[in-house]
Amino acid sequence: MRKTVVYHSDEALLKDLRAAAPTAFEALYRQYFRMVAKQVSDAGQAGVEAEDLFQEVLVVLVQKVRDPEFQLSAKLSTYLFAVSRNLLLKKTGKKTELAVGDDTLLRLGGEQAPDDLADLKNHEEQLNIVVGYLELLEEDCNRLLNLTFYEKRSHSDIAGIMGYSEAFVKVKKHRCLTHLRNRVKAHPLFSRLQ
Amino acid sequence: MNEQYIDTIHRYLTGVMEAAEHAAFEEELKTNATLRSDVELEHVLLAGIDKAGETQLRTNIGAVHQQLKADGFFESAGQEAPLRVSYVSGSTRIKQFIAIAASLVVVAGAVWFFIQNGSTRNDAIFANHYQPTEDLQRAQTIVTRLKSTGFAGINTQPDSLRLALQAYEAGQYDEALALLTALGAANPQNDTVQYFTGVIHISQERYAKAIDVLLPLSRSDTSALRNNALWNLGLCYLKMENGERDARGVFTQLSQDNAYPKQRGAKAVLDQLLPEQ
Repeated sequence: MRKTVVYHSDEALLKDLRAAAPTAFEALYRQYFRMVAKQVSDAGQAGVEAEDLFQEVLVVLVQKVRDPEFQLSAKLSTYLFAVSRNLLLKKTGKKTELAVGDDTLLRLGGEQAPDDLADLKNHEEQLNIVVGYLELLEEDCNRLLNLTFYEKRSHSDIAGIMGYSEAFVKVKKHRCLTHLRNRVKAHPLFSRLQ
Repeated sequence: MNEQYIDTIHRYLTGVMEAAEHAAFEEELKTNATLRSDVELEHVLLAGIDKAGETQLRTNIGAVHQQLKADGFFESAGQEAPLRVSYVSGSTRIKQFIAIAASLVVVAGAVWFFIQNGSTRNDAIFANHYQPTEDLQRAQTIVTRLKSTGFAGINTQPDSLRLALQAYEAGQYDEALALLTALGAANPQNDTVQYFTGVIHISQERYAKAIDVLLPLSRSDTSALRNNALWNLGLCYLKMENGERDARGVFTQLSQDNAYPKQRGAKAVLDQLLPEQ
């Protein structure tokens, strides 16, 4: 039986995408996966799987739409295909990225990573320790830090989501971060920073 | 460290400082070792929060992907036309809302009745079938297989896994979870790490988190821990509001697996669940 996914507008889909709602991912899969698969097939590159690429597309898309500077100036599908094309070009080693109009947000950035291999390994280990201690925080602290720093939500948004006042969001954010910082700093791998 | 000082560092790291303030901050960094150290620490904290967020995002997308895969979506990808995303008008939405609200009022009482009875019953089923000693024995078996291969006091991954499982055996759940999470971030496909992360979440009554970890493992084609993950996953569903249907699916699957040692246990759970509505 064919399934219909109901979305009221690109704006509604965008809102759910910012919140990483499973319904938004499902809607995008059902609407666009086949076209991205065709894009991969047409590129004729061995080793690039459409299913893997589409998951990457969704990750990048969520990160892009969460950027406070992001403006939906074209259809969401246009953004999705631009991200997909750029990822495909990146994976196949082609240098030129395609931009949609003048939207430089769609160009793929790369995180600044340490050059030295030993530094890179050390950095990765440090990140893993932070991830480990985050997991040990109270659920609401973990969520608040995620909303603030990963999802880049405003205090007002977070207050609405978590049922706090804006002033309390600010206080709690500082408290949670201090707690995390103290635990991380106590780890031997961070002894240099104490 | 006061809040304003930290906020300034964060504004520097996230690139939202005005040019003049940015230049002044960089000048200060050249001479102030404490500031340099604090900036480095905040950079790692923010990057770690990003990494955790991205891992969670990938897990969420992966769960939708797996569900679509289980539904045969990708097999039919070449044959069907794209499925439709329907955009409905405002007045249609109002009518839909009124109809749904009316239906909800009618069934609310009945649902409340079933939830009250169902959740108590499901708690009892969970209590009868949750057997943490089996997971402790499983951990002990794995620990004896993991001989220390560390060199010059540096922990290797098997060492870290052994330490994590020993911490779990000793009931030091926070320490075990921190070690497992660090291992899982470096080795996202390690089934032992996934499994015991889920087990620890269950022991701490964090059932939703346990489901997040155990669900992908329960769909593995290669992991020897798959059925154990499925069993625990089914028990977690019993603890979730509206999770009974998923629990029924899990225990039905286990009850049909003749090679699964607890096949009869799975049938017993099915017998105890309320009949499907």
